[in-house]
Amino acid sequence: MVFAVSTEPAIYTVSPSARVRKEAFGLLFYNTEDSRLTFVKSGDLLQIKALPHGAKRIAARLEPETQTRVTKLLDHLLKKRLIGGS
Amino acid sequence: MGHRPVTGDPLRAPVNVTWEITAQCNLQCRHCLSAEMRKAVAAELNFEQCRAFIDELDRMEVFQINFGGGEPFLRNDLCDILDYAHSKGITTCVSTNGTVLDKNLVKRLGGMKLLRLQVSLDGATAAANDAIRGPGTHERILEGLAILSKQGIPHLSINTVVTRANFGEIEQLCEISARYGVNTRLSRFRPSGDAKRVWQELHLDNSQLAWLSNFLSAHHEVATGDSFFSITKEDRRALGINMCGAARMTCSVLPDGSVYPCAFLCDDQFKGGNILNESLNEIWLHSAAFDALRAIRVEACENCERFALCHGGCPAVAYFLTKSLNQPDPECIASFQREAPRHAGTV
Repeated sequence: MVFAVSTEPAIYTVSPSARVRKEAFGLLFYNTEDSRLTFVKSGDLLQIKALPHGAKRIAARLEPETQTRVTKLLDHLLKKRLIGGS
Repeated sequence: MGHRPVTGDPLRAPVNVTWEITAQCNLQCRHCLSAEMRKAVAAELNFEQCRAFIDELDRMEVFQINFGGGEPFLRNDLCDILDYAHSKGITTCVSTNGTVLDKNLVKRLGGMKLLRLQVSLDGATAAANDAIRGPGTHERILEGLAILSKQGIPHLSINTVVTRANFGEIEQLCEISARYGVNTRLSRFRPSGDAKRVWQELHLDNSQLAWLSNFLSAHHEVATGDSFFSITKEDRRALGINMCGAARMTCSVLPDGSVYPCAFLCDDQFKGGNILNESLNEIWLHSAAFDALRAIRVEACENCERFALCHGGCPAVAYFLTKSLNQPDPECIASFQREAPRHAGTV
């Protein structure tokens, strides 16, 4: 998947079957369907945005110096269906 | 990115909490890990205290609660407690002996989408199971499984603590699981609680452990009961023993609210606090007992090629068998492979 470079963050929805929380290393995802964990070493590149009713979104800032890394992280999370399209 | 922690720092909260929610039990299993706790615990949290604790788990963003006991379903309010946890989006897993289930209860459980159920069965035959769990329990457990299976509980597994009593029946146990359309989960036998008394009689010898490791590597569909957050198949193939999550990814709460790093490490020296006196968050982040466990260094293992995966294995087994936390897991397969080449071909 290719992402355009932008100063505006790309927004992704956290899948209904996933939960996520912030940790010192980045994000920790939990899949409620199989109890598997995914440790995402993203630092502050990915941010959790809380929505009403407990839903969450992931905001990814696609700046030139971090774009490749962020794109790789997002691809992985999309592939694992932990997040959905923006 | 992956399934293992990417940092040496503890997580800011447990991933899951094992909650021994009651000391009541209708069975007297010979290897009960909770036997000493059940004698020592005088009271259990009431429903309002349980709700308040779940509120805290929600604030801490704990993902999963594993309910055990005792027999959790002997608490009349267990379903209400489960519903409350589910209303917060927290996944629950209940470990039951399967002998107190009826159709009405199972029907209610069937509507819980975030529930996982684990039924203990310690032998494919009545002879093996009943020698551990008591006379007549094999038949009653299978009756419970039949009700659950008929209800179509989606996340249902049979859990077996592997001992010498049932070691020869593992494949048959998998066949029973298949018959009921449920998963098989095999748990390590650990010298904790009453299991300390029967350890010499029931623990697997090295060749049996090697066979079990080989079996698990060949049967990825069989889960291991050591944790509910699954390790990868690659880890399974390489290890046979999982990395310990005590005080790092999980902790254990007893019926009276006492907090320990793990259900297998409930001696006084490991007590982190009590949720009736302080928050779990405080205990998790600042308990001296938890910090001490996190600081364990199993130096004898640090040059092993598997160290990054297991960090020395289960400290509870090491503690109860060697009286030291800084010793390698005595059941480490890599270790006895090196010491006894005769096992090499079986792993």
